[in-house]
Amino acid sequence: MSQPTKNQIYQWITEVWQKIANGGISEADLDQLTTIIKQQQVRQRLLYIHAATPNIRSQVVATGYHEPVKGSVTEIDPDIDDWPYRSVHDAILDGWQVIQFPDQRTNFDDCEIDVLGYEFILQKLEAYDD
Amino acid sequence: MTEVKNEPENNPSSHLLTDQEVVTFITHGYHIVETDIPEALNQAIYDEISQLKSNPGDGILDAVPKLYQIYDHPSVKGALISLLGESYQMSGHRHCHINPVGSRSQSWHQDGVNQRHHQIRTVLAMYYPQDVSSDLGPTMVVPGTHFRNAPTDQMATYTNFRDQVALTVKAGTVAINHYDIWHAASRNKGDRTRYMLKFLFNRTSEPTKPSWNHDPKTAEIEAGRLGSERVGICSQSDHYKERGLRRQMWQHLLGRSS
Repeated sequence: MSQPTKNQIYQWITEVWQKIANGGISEADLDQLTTIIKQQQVRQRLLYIHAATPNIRSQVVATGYHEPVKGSVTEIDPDIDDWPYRSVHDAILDGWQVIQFPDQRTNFDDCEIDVLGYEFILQKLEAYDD
Repeated sequence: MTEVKNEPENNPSSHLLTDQEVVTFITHGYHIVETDIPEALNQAIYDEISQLKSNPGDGILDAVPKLYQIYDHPSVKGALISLLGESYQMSGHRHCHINPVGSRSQSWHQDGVNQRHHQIRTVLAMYYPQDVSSDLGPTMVVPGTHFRNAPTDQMATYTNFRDQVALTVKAGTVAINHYDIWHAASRNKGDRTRYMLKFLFNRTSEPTKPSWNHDPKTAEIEAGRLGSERVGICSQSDHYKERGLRRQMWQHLLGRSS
Protein backbone atom coordinates (compact mmCIF):
# COMPACT_ATOMS: atom_id res chain seq x y z
CA MET A 1 0.00 0.00 0.00
CA SER A 2 1.35 3.37 -0.94
CA GLN A 3 2.27 5.85 1.75
CA PRO A 4 -0.28 8.51 0.67
CA THR A 5 -3.06 5.93 0.89
CA LYS A 6 -1.86 4.79 4.29
CA ASN A 7 -1.82 8.36 5.50
CA GLN A 8 -5.35 8.92 4.28
CA ILE A 9 -6.58 5.81 6.09
CA TYR A 10 -4.84 6.81 9.32
CA GLN A 11 -6.46 10.22 9.03
CA TRP A 12 -9.84 8.55 8.48
CA ILE A 13 -9.34 6.34 11.59
CA THR A 14 -8.45 9.36 13.71
CA GLU A 15 -11.57 11.16 12.58
CA VAL A 16 -13.78 8.09 13.11
CA TRP A 17 -12.49 7.64 16.67
CA GLN A 18 -13.55 11.20 17.37
CA LYS A 19 -16.95 10.56 15.79
CA ILE A 20 -17.47 7.43 17.88
CA ALA A 21 -16.67 9.41 21.00
CA ASN A 22 -19.15 12.06 19.86
CA GLY A 23 -22.05 9.82 19.02
CA GLY A 24 -21.06 7.42 16.23
CA ILE A 25 -20.23 7.10 12.56
CA SER A 26 -22.51 7.19 9.54
CA GLU A 27 -22.76 5.42 6.18
CA ALA A 28 -21.01 8.43 4.66
CA ASP A 29 -17.91 7.66 6.71
CA LEU A 30 -17.78 4.13 5.30
CA ASP A 31 -18.29 5.47 1.76
CA GLN A 32 -15.34 7.76 2.32
CA LEU A 33 -13.16 4.81 3.37
CA THR A 34 -14.24 2.86 0.28
CA THR A 35 -13.28 5.77 -1.94
CA ILE A 36 -9.84 6.00 -0.36
CA ILE A 37 -9.14 2.30 -0.92
CA LYS A 38 -10.40 2.35 -4.51
CA GLN A 39 -7.98 5.12 -5.38
CA GLN A 40 -5.06 2.74 -5.28
CA GLN A 41 -4.32 -0.16 -7.61
CA VAL A 42 -1.99 -2.98 -6.79
CA ARG A 43 0.15 -3.77 -9.81
CA GLN A 44 2.93 -6.17 -10.63
CA ARG A 45 6.46 -4.89 -11.14
CA LEU A 46 8.64 -7.43 -12.91
CA LEU A 47 12.37 -7.93 -12.73
CA TYR A 48 14.14 -10.37 -15.04
CA ILE A 49 17.46 -11.50 -13.67
CA HIS A 50 19.78 -13.72 -15.68
CA ALA A 51 22.19 -15.32 -13.25
CA ALA A 52 25.37 -17.24 -13.98
CA THR A 53 23.90 -20.49 -12.64
CA PRO A 54 20.49 -21.71 -11.38
CA ASN A 55 21.69 -20.95 -7.85
CA ILE A 56 20.04 -17.82 -6.43
CA ARG A 57 23.37 -16.78 -4.93
CA SER A 58 25.26 -16.85 -8.23
CA GLN A 59 26.37 -13.64 -9.97
CA VAL A 60 23.94 -11.50 -11.91
CA VAL A 61 24.65 -11.53 -15.66
CA ALA A 62 21.82 -9.28 -16.83
CA THR A 63 18.75 -7.48 -15.53
CA GLY A 64 15.60 -5.96 -16.97
CA TYR A 65 12.93 -4.03 -15.09
CA HIS A 66 9.36 -3.76 -16.36
CA GLU A 67 7.32 -1.13 -14.60
CA PRO A 68 3.49 -1.42 -14.62
CA VAL A 69 3.03 2.10 -15.89
CA LYS A 70 1.50 2.97 -19.23
CA GLY A 71 4.17 4.12 -21.66
CA SER A 72 7.05 2.77 -19.60
CA VAL A 73 10.05 1.61 -21.60
CA THR A 74 12.52 -1.19 -20.89
CA GLU A 75 15.61 -0.83 -23.00
CA ILE A 76 19.37 -1.02 -23.19
CA ASP A 77 21.14 1.80 -21.36
CA PRO A 78 24.71 2.51 -22.54
CA ASP A 79 25.38 4.50 -19.36
CA ILE A 80 23.96 2.07 -16.84
CA ASP A 81 25.97 2.01 -13.64
CA ASP A 82 23.24 1.11 -11.17
CA TRP A 83 23.40 -2.58 -10.34
CA PRO A 84 21.66 -2.83 -6.96
CA TYR A 85 21.71 -6.62 -6.87
CA ARG A 86 24.73 -8.88 -7.21
CA SER A 87 22.53 -11.98 -7.00
CA VAL A 88 18.89 -13.07 -7.01
CA HIS A 89 19.26 -13.47 -3.26
CA ASP A 90 20.11 -9.76 -2.93
CA ALA A 91 16.88 -8.94 -4.77
CA ILE A 92 14.88 -11.21 -2.47
CA LEU A 93 16.33 -9.38 0.53
CA ASP A 94 14.99 -6.18 -1.02
CA GLY A 95 11.45 -7.56 -1.21
CA TRP A 96 11.35 -9.11 -4.67
CA GLN A 97 9.58 -12.47 -4.90
CA VAL A 98 10.68 -15.11 -7.39
CA ILE A 99 7.76 -16.24 -9.55
CA GLN A 100 9.73 -18.30 -12.07
CA PHE A 101 12.86 -20.33 -11.52
CA PRO A 102 15.05 -21.58 -14.38
CA ASP A 103 14.64 -25.18 -15.43
CA GLN A 104 17.74 -27.08 -14.38
CA ARG A 105 17.01 -29.75 -16.98
CA THR A 106 17.80 -27.55 -19.95
CA ASN A 107 19.20 -28.92 -23.17
CA PHE A 108 22.83 -29.80 -22.68
CA ASP A 109 25.68 -29.94 -25.12
CA ASP A 110 29.16 -30.77 -23.94
CA CYS A 111 30.92 -28.51 -26.47
CA GLU A 112 28.56 -25.77 -27.60
CA ILE A 113 27.24 -22.78 -25.67
CA ASP A 114 24.00 -20.93 -26.33
CA VAL A 115 22.00 -18.51 -24.18
CA LEU A 116 23.83 -16.56 -21.52
CA GLY A 117 22.80 -17.19 -17.93
CA TYR A 118 19.72 -18.68 -16.26
CA GLU A 119 16.51 -16.71 -16.19
CA PHE A 120 14.70 -15.85 -12.95
CA ILE A 121 11.54 -13.73 -13.02
CA LEU A 122 10.72 -11.76 -9.89
CA GLN A 123 7.81 -9.55 -8.90
CA LYS A 124 6.93 -6.84 -6.44
CA LEU A 125 3.29 -6.00 -5.91
CA GLU A 126 2.96 -2.32 -5.28
CA ALA A 127 0.10 0.15 -5.12
CA TYR A 128 -0.27 2.91 -7.65
CA ASP A 129 -2.51 5.90 -7.03
CA ASP A 130 -3.22 6.98 -10.59
CA MET B 1 38.90 9.77 -54.52
CA THR B 2 41.85 10.51 -52.25
CA GLU B 3 45.17 9.62 -53.83
CA VAL B 4 46.94 6.80 -52.01
CA LYS B 5 50.70 7.21 -52.13
CA ASN B 6 52.99 4.21 -52.24
CA GLU B 7 54.38 4.69 -48.77
CA PRO B 8 54.60 2.09 -45.99
CA GLU B 9 51.78 3.68 -44.00
CA ASN B 10 49.54 3.29 -47.05
CA ASN B 11 50.29 -0.38 -47.41
CA PRO B 12 47.86 -2.72 -45.61
CA SER B 13 50.76 -5.02 -44.76
CA SER B 14 51.98 -2.26 -42.46
CA HIS B 15 48.67 -2.40 -40.63
CA LEU B 16 48.29 -6.10 -39.96
CA LEU B 17 47.08 -7.06 -36.51
CA THR B 18 49.45 -8.41 -33.90
CA ASP B 19 49.06 -11.77 -32.17
CA GLN B 20 47.72 -9.91 -29.16
CA GLU B 21 45.04 -8.20 -31.25
CA VAL B 22 44.02 -11.40 -33.00
CA VAL B 23 43.76 -13.25 -29.69
CA THR B 24 41.68 -10.39 -28.28
CA PHE B 25 39.41 -10.58 -31.33
CA ILE B 26 38.96 -14.28 -30.64
CA THR B 27 38.14 -13.77 -26.95
CA HIS B 28 36.00 -10.65 -27.32
CA GLY B 29 34.56 -10.93 -30.84
CA TYR B 30 35.39 -7.43 -32.04
CA HIS B 31 38.27 -5.12 -32.94
CA ILE B 32 38.19 -1.34 -33.18
CA VAL B 33 40.09 0.30 -36.05
CA GLU B 34 40.66 3.99 -35.39
CA THR B 35 41.57 5.44 -38.75
CA ASP B 36 43.10 8.76 -39.75
CA ILE B 37 40.32 9.39 -42.23
CA PRO B 38 40.05 13.17 -42.57
CA GLU B 39 37.18 14.82 -40.77
CA ALA B 40 36.16 16.45 -44.05
CA LEU B 41 35.60 13.04 -45.65
CA ASN B 42 33.57 11.77 -42.69
CA GLN B 43 31.47 14.92 -42.79
CA ALA B 44 30.99 14.67 -46.56
CA ILE B 45 29.75 11.10 -46.20
CA TYR B 46 27.45 12.12 -43.35
CA ASP B 47 26.02 14.92 -45.47
CA GLU B 48 25.53 12.73 -48.54
CA ILE B 49 23.69 10.10 -46.54
CA SER B 50 21.54 12.79 -44.93
CA GLN B 51 20.46 13.96 -48.36
CA LEU B 52 19.31 10.55 -49.60
CA LYS B 53 15.57 10.44 -50.19
CA SER B 54 15.33 6.83 -49.05
CA ASN B 55 17.59 4.13 -47.70
CA PRO B 56 19.10 2.40 -50.75
CA GLY B 57 19.87 -0.81 -48.85
CA ASP B 58 22.55 -2.77 -50.69
CA GLY B 59 22.82 0.18 -53.11
CA ILE B 60 24.41 2.48 -50.51
CA LEU B 61 27.86 2.05 -52.07
CA ASP B 62 26.58 3.29 -55.44
CA ALA B 63 24.69 6.09 -53.74
CA VAL B 64 27.70 7.21 -51.69
CA PRO B 65 30.85 6.09 -53.57
CA LYS B 66 33.06 7.88 -51.04
CA LEU B 67 32.50 4.83 -48.85
CA TYR B 68 35.04 2.98 -51.02
CA GLN B 69 37.70 5.15 -49.40
CA ILE B 70 36.71 3.92 -45.97
CA TYR B 71 36.89 0.24 -46.73
CA ASP B 72 40.01 0.72 -48.87
CA HIS B 73 41.80 2.46 -46.02
CA PRO B 74 45.04 0.58 -45.29
CA SER B 75 44.33 0.14 -41.59
CA VAL B 76 40.90 -1.30 -42.36
CA LYS B 77 42.30 -3.57 -45.06
CA GLY B 78 45.11 -4.64 -42.76
CA ALA B 79 42.65 -5.73 -40.10
CA LEU B 80 40.45 -7.53 -42.64
CA ILE B 81 43.42 -9.39 -44.14
CA SER B 82 44.47 -10.39 -40.64
CA LEU B 83 41.11 -11.90 -39.81
CA LEU B 84 39.88 -13.17 -43.19
CA GLY B 85 43.02 -13.78 -45.25
CA GLU B 86 44.48 -11.96 -48.24
CA SER B 87 41.65 -13.00 -50.55
CA TYR B 88 38.77 -11.63 -48.48
CA GLN B 89 35.85 -10.14 -50.39
CA MET B 90 33.25 -7.52 -49.72
CA SER B 91 29.77 -9.02 -49.61
CA GLY B 92 27.04 -7.69 -51.87
CA HIS B 93 24.91 -7.18 -48.78
CA ARG B 94 25.39 -4.02 -46.76
CA HIS B 95 23.18 -1.57 -44.99
CA CYS B 96 23.08 2.00 -43.78
CA HIS B 97 21.69 1.88 -40.26
CA ILE B 98 19.89 5.09 -39.43
CA ASN B 99 19.36 5.83 -35.76
CA PRO B 100 17.22 8.97 -35.57
CA VAL B 101 16.86 11.26 -32.58
CA GLY B 102 14.36 9.85 -30.10
CA SER B 103 14.66 6.23 -31.23
CA ARG B 104 14.37 3.30 -28.86
CA SER B 105 17.00 0.65 -28.41
CA GLN B 106 16.89 -2.47 -30.52
CA SER B 107 16.60 -5.88 -28.92
CA TRP B 108 19.74 -7.95 -28.63
CA HIS B 109 20.26 -10.10 -31.68
CA GLN B 110 22.64 -12.12 -33.80
CA ASP B 111 22.49 -11.51 -37.53
CA GLY B 112 21.31 -14.21 -39.90
CA VAL B 113 20.18 -17.65 -38.94
CA ASN B 114 21.55 -20.06 -36.40
CA GLN B 115 24.02 -22.12 -38.35
CA ARG B 116 27.01 -21.07 -36.32
CA HIS B 117 30.57 -22.35 -36.46
CA HIS B 118 33.68 -21.35 -34.61
CA GLN B 119 35.75 -19.82 -37.35
CA ILE B 120 36.06 -16.33 -38.73
CA ARG B 121 34.25 -16.58 -42.04
CA THR B 122 32.34 -13.29 -42.08
CA VAL B 123 32.78 -10.04 -40.21
CA LEU B 124 30.56 -7.00 -39.82
CA ALA B 125 32.62 -3.89 -40.52
CA MET B 126 30.73 -0.98 -38.97
CA TYR B 127 31.83 2.49 -40.05
CA TYR B 128 30.70 5.58 -38.15
CA PRO B 129 30.89 8.88 -40.09
CA GLN B 130 30.29 10.91 -36.92
CA ASP B 131 31.50 10.81 -33.34
CA VAL B 132 29.29 8.48 -31.32
CA SER B 133 28.90 9.38 -27.66
CA SER B 134 26.82 7.31 -25.27
CA ASP B 135 23.95 9.74 -25.92
CA LEU B 136 23.98 9.23 -29.68
CA GLY B 137 22.73 5.64 -29.76
CA PRO B 138 25.97 3.66 -29.83
CA THR B 139 26.08 0.09 -31.04
CA MET B 140 26.14 -2.24 -28.04
CA VAL B 141 27.95 -5.57 -27.99
CA VAL B 142 28.35 -8.33 -25.44
CA PRO B 143 31.96 -9.55 -25.54
CA GLY B 144 32.43 -13.26 -26.06
CA THR B 145 28.92 -13.96 -27.30
CA HIS B 146 30.08 -14.76 -30.84
CA PHE B 147 30.55 -18.34 -29.64
CA ARG B 148 26.93 -18.61 -28.50
CA ASN B 149 24.39 -20.21 -30.77
CA ALA B 150 21.15 -18.64 -29.61
CA PRO B 151 18.05 -17.82 -31.63
CA THR B 152 17.36 -14.12 -31.38
CA ASP B 153 13.87 -14.72 -29.94
CA GLN B 154 15.53 -16.36 -26.94
CA MET B 155 17.32 -13.07 -26.29
CA ALA B 156 14.06 -11.11 -26.04
CA THR B 157 14.06 -11.00 -22.23
CA TYR B 158 17.58 -9.63 -21.88
CA THR B 159 17.90 -5.91 -21.29
CA ASN B 160 21.18 -4.78 -19.74
CA PHE B 161 24.19 -7.04 -19.35
CA ARG B 162 26.78 -6.41 -16.66
CA ASP B 163 29.47 -6.81 -19.32
CA GLN B 164 27.89 -5.03 -22.26
CA VAL B 165 30.10 -2.57 -24.12
CA ALA B 166 28.95 0.63 -25.81
CA LEU B 167 30.94 1.31 -28.96
CA THR B 168 31.48 5.01 -28.32
CA VAL B 169 33.85 6.00 -31.08
CA LYS B 170 35.38 8.86 -32.98
CA ALA B 171 34.21 9.67 -36.50
CA GLY B 172 36.07 7.50 -38.98
CA THR B 173 36.20 4.46 -36.73
CA VAL B 174 35.49 1.04 -38.20
CA ALA B 175 34.41 -1.56 -35.65
CA ILE B 176 35.08 -5.04 -36.99
CA ASN B 177 32.80 -7.57 -35.34
CA HIS B 178 32.57 -11.31 -35.64
CA TYR B 179 29.35 -12.01 -37.55
CA ASP B 180 27.83 -13.92 -34.64
CA ILE B 181 28.35 -11.39 -31.85
CA TRP B 182 25.27 -10.32 -29.91
CA HIS B 183 24.63 -6.67 -30.66
CA ALA B 184 21.98 -3.95 -30.72
CA ALA B 185 21.60 -0.26 -31.42
CA SER B 186 20.75 1.81 -28.37
CA ARG B 187 18.45 4.80 -28.02
CA ASN B 188 19.57 8.02 -29.65
CA LYS B 189 19.17 10.66 -26.93
CA GLY B 190 21.30 13.15 -28.81
CA ASP B 191 20.45 15.98 -31.16
CA ARG B 192 21.42 14.54 -34.53
CA THR B 193 20.90 11.34 -36.50
CA ARG B 194 23.51 8.65 -35.95
CA TYR B 195 24.57 6.70 -39.02
CA MET B 196 26.37 3.39 -39.05
CA LEU B 197 27.39 1.71 -42.29
CA LYS B 198 27.43 -2.03 -41.89
CA PHE B 199 29.43 -3.81 -44.57
CA LEU B 200 30.00 -7.55 -44.58
CA PHE B 201 33.31 -9.13 -45.58
CA ASN B 202 33.81 -12.82 -46.25
CA ARG B 203 36.69 -15.25 -46.16
CA THR B 204 37.11 -16.91 -49.55
CA SER B 205 39.86 -19.40 -48.80
CA GLU B 206 40.84 -21.62 -45.91
CA PRO B 207 43.79 -20.40 -43.87
CA THR B 208 47.04 -22.24 -44.49
CA LYS B 209 49.19 -19.91 -42.39
CA PRO B 210 48.70 -16.82 -40.21
CA SER B 211 47.64 -13.81 -42.26
CA TRP B 212 48.52 -11.28 -39.57
CA ASN B 213 51.76 -10.03 -38.06
CA HIS B 214 52.49 -13.34 -36.41
CA ASP B 215 55.47 -14.01 -34.19
CA PRO B 216 55.58 -17.67 -33.12
CA LYS B 217 57.66 -16.80 -30.06
CA THR B 218 55.24 -14.35 -28.53
CA ALA B 219 52.14 -15.92 -30.02
CA GLU B 220 52.38 -18.84 -27.65
CA ILE B 221 52.22 -16.51 -24.67
CA GLU B 222 49.29 -14.59 -26.12
CA ALA B 223 47.48 -17.81 -26.99
CA GLY B 224 47.66 -18.72 -23.32
CA ARG B 225 44.90 -16.16 -22.76
CA LEU B 226 42.55 -18.33 -24.79
CA GLY B 227 42.59 -20.82 -21.95
CA SER B 228 42.29 -18.44 -19.06
CA GLU B 229 40.83 -15.02 -19.82
CA ARG B 230 37.28 -14.29 -18.77
CA VAL B 231 35.60 -11.57 -20.79
CA GLY B 232 32.29 -11.68 -18.96
CA ILE B 233 30.28 -13.33 -16.24
CA CYS B 234 29.14 -16.82 -17.14
CA SER B 235 28.99 -20.24 -15.52
CA GLN B 236 32.17 -22.22 -15.05
CA SER B 237 30.94 -24.95 -17.39
CA ASP B 238 30.23 -22.38 -20.13
CA HIS B 239 33.69 -20.92 -19.61
CA TYR B 240 35.35 -24.32 -20.00
CA LYS B 241 33.49 -24.86 -23.27
CA GLU B 242 34.28 -21.31 -24.39
CA ARG B 243 37.99 -22.01 -23.97
CA GLY B 244 37.74 -25.00 -26.29
CA LEU B 245 35.88 -22.99 -28.91
CA ARG B 246 38.49 -20.23 -28.78
CA ARG B 247 41.24 -22.75 -29.40
CA GLN B 248 39.30 -24.13 -32.37
CA MET B 249 39.16 -20.63 -33.85
CA TRP B 250 42.86 -20.01 -33.20
CA GLN B 251 43.91 -23.32 -34.74
CA HIS B 252 41.77 -22.61 -37.79
CA LEU B 253 43.39 -19.19 -38.23
CA LEU B 254 46.83 -20.73 -37.94
CA GLY B 255 45.91 -23.13 -40.74
CA ARG B 256 46.12 -26.15 -38.53
CA SER B 257 42.51 -27.32 -38.41
CA SER B 258 41.63 -30.54 -40.16
